[in-house]
Amino acid sequence: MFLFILKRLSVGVGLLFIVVTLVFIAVQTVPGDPAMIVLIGSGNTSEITPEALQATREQLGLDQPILVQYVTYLGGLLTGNLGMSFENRQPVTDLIAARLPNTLELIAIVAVVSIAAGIALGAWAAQRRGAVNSGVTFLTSLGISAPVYVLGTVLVFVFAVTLRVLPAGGFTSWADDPVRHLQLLILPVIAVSVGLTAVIARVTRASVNETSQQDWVRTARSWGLQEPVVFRTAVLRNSLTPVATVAALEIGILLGSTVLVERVFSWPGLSTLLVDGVAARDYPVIQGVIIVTAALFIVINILVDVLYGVLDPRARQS
Amino acid sequence: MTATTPATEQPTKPATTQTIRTRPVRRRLSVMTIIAGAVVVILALMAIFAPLISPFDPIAQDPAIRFTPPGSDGHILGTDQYGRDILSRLIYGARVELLTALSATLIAAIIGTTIGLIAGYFDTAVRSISMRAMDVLLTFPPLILALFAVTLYGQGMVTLIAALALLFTPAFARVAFAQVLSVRSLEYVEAAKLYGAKSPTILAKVILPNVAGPTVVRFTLTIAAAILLESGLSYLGLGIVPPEPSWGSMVAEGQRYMSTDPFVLLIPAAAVVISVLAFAVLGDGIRQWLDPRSGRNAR
Repeated sequence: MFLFILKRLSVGVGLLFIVVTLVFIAVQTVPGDPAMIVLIGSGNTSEITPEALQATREQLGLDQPILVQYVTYLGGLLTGNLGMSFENRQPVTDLIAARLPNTLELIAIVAVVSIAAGIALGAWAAQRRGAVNSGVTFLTSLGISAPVYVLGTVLVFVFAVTLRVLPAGGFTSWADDPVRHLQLLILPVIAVSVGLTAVIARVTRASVNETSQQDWVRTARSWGLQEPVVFRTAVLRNSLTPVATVAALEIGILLGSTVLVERVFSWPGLSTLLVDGVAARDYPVIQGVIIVTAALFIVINILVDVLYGVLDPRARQS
Repeated sequence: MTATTPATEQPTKPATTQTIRTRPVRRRLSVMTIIAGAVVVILALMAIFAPLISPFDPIAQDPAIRFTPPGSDGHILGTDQYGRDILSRLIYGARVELLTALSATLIAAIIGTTIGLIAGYFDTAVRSISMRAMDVLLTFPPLILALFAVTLYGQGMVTLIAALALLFTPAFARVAFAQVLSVRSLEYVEAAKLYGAKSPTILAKVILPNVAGPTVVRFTLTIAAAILLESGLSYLGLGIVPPEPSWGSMVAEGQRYMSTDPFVLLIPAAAVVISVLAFAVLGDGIRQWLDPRSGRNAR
């Protein structure tokens, strides 16, 4: 098991290295001079002289050969330094560290809620035919098709504007007011969970249906075991591997969809940083956010692979 | 199984091995699929004939008629905060939405399927390199990769199409790859080889038809995903450049006036949900039609 984890970790590190390199190359291909963007960003356009440009380039290390810049960036990564923001001259690492916990909190709650609700709904729908089955199919299609931002704004319209039972958005830290903090989380969590629950419910249903036709399930029934016991011991556990795969993939995608929901509810996660960074062409910030999310995505996938090993001992060998 | 075969069939059709083994499964499109297909056709017609059918100019502003409620003064769906006709904006929005989604999906399907076919057929270094490259692409959350592209190359439809095409290529590559692996050692592929057919011929004429079904399903579902992503980017103000109408930016604008004039928000919101739903249901329907036995298990 230890070797298995070690192997997955080294593949993950390799993958991250490729991601960092690709992102670095992509930024180099951009037309335009980053030093110019910095000077325009500082607001004082009269200051843009060849001397000022040269000074900014030297300050940012842009006068160095590309290979040197690349090695410097990699070295910085190893020590947790993601460079300086063009826009407000703060270390990117600090900017990300200030917002990442809020995003992770949202994702963690959404993951728990959707995995629990999705497996329950999928398992419940699995053995049923007719109206229940097609009803669940339609509802899950609807859940998957409603974009996070549309669902979010409609939730705000219903619960904050019309019924006035929940706040429309904003942020209060856990330390200041725990109740308010939780109230503010309810709508964003629902907005993101609906889609994820739908996806997980569908995979669970398909997987449970497939497992139910296996020989060992028939054998368990022929032993005279009660149906709930058969379901728990023979069906459900063996159905969860594909669910874990899809959940991992979808949670990775969540790292993206939270951008939208954070925007709808003014939740101060990575999104503000990212969207403002895109608008201002603040490359170091974008680069940093992409590398951090890719790293998170890789970590989630490694965790899932380890979980496979727990769920299905056969997976440990390969 | 034989017991359930209708008695009337037996005298007319002698029991071959096939009829004993499986009862013929009827290929039938569900009502939902037909409705979804109709919605898709309507959307496409709206997009194609936008200039002919839209009652007003989608970007013409008229401060005198701001927030006209739906149904009055010839504005069937009302007007927005600048007095622009919402129906006309929806119709032109459909054009932008479908053009972006369709072009991106088409490019992704062509490139992805080619990569998948080659990677699946040739058991060489090409396979591991190309499929690894696809894995790397899948390491980025889609919205974030799209935002990265916008940062690098600026806003607008061309950037969006390129970014979405890049994002969806791995999905098509994987579908084709899996399909090739499952058919390439079958007898008829071996037979084609023995007849001396060249690899490109085998790929195009023998293997490609097997890949077509799942790819069509993936194609429809990908259009749904593309609309989701594109409208999301436009909602953030980083997709289609205003004042060109896009459903995502219409939702974002409507959000500001939802307490007084909710229809400005709810109409484009419904348009996004209905069209994504239509493509998703259509994709599932085609999957069931192609493989009726997988029906109730379809994801």
